[in-house]
Amino acid sequence: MTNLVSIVIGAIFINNIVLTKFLGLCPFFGVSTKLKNAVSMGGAVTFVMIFSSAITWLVYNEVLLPYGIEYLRIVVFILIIASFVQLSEIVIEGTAPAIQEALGVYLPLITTNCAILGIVLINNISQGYSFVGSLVSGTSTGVGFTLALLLMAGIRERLALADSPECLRGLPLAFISAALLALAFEGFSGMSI
Amino acid sequence: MIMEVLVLGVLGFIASVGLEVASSVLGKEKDPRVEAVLDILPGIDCGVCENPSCAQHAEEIVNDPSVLYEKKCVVISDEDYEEIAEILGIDWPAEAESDEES
Repeated sequence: MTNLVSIVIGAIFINNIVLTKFLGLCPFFGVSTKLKNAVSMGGAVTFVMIFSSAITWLVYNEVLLPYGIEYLRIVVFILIIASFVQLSEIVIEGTAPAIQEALGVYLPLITTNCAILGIVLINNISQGYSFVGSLVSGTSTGVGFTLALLLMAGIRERLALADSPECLRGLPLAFISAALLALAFEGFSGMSI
Repeated sequence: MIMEVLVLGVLGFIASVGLEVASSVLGKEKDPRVEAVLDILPGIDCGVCENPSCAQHAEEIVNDPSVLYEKKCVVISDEDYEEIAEILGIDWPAEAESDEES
């Protein structure tokens, strides 16, 4: 149980997927201009992360390892992730077409979001979590991603109204604030639970 | 060798069947007229019709055919407009009316 709690705290704060591991930066900058889009993007990514964590654990430990073909893991993981991205796109298209238009190309791009491939590789290979551990890790990483996206979107909504030097307006200021955010999250590192 | 092919093939098959089922259960029926109209539109997403893309303009036209009379798309010809009107099943008065206006 304490192990699971430490996975949650670790994935959300100490090893935040975006601000500490620097994975998934493409949607982090692309969709963080509005809070509303950030919420739906975070939701879609979390959905894909939870389900692909579960399925990849089963496939990796029950199929790839016993037959000694774990070198196929990247292809298989991408196949599973891509299926879930497509599924989430079908669901969003059917229920909320406005969100699909707002997210635009970033929705299908979740397929190549390295945060998701990163987290399934971390779950299965570098950490070797159990099934429950993988599920918890996937969920809390999704929450951590959403948290980072929300923080960034809140900052950028304010920055859009601020009187900033013209040469810094837009993406440059976003990069600078992302760096400061990452520095702030560095304060969690070294925390042991 | 055999095992690799089997694993990838079976996984791909499961995924595609799952997606097919999901899209038939949850997916939205696409209006075939939107596709037909989109084929006639230039597809260059120029934005003159005040829509970000031709696809959205096609949807706008199908949802509200009266938009067609405004001739928002400046790229396609009058014959193309007639063709779109035919797809939508509305009259295309055009010639006489637009002469009067101009």
